[in-house]
Amino acid sequence: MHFSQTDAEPEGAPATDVAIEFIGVDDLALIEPLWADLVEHHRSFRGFPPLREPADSWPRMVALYRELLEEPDAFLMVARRGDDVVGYAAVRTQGPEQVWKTGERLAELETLSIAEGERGSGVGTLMMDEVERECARRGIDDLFIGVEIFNQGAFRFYERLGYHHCFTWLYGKPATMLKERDPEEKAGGR
Amino acid sequence: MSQHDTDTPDVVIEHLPVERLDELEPLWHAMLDHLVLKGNPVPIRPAAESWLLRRAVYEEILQRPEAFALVARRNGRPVGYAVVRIDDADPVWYTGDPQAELESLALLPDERGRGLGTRLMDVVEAELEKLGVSDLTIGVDLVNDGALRFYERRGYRGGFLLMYGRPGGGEWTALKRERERPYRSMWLPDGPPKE
Repeated sequence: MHFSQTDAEPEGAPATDVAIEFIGVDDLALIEPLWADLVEHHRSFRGFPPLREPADSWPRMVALYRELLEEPDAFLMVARRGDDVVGYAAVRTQGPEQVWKTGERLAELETLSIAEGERGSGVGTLMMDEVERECARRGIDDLFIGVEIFNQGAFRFYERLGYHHCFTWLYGKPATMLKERDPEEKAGGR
Repeated sequence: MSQHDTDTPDVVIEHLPVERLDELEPLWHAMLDHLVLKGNPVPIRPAAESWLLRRAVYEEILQRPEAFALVARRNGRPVGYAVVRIDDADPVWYTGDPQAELESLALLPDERGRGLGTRLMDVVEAELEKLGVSDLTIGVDLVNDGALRFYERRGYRGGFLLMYGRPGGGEWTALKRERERPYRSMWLPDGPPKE
């Protein structure tokens, strides 16, 4: 499983002096610094598994974005304040979902990154407005968003936009956990 | 619900070949029923339709040689199963390469809480160890609190939350927000005309 990486702080009205622009695979260098910002922010939550160094994960993300942009209706957008790129969002599409009764195609916010000094400034709200508009234009009704479990700011931000927690991803290294295990159990799952 | 590891001595766990996936359909239906009964916040697909989609995914997953499906049988009848997929290393996290995901684990309702889930997970983890795969990811629906506690007791931790919204269902959330406070995007490529 690959987890999407999203980030935003609770904020109010959308930023007014920021423009949104769609970019393609040839413009990925524009967003590399924002990827590093996102990884550094997520590292501060000390979740796990541990995050790769941005220099290690960025080339892998470039490969992922290239692959993703080949999916029908996937898109990548940046937010610009003047000449500065202050945020970006990557949306992928898949479907039909096997368990949830969504539309034939559904969208997943693969990445939302806001530059460190711009969090809480309304850029995230502006970008989410555009993400939803673009999904609407493409006839996609459903959007899933992955949030790091300790990223409470992002969780509240998406809740205020009308999104709800529906699913949890757990992670572990079974071989190393074995020794500490409680023998009691109860089953279930998907 | 009480649990006893000793309650399932007559259950046999074995690998299930891909040609026999259809034996799992009743178990998949039971898992969907469980989600519906629990009041899953996202609507659940009709079971037969869901199974066709699910089976196709299992077939694809099981093409990778390390991936596997396990079935638990009581007197020959399937009462539980697990499917594990294998993926390349994660681009963002320091996982091993490859890494595993518990794609499914489902039990018949009257088999829950009797130690069968533990036995299945013990086999899943032993198989992964044999394969040299150290990392396992498990997705659990929010309403499935029993399953969440089960995996947490085994040492698994969150992780990541998945949030869901239906911005396009009925009125668009973005449009509702726009009404609440005037929308002021500077750039609207091919967007709906502003009034």
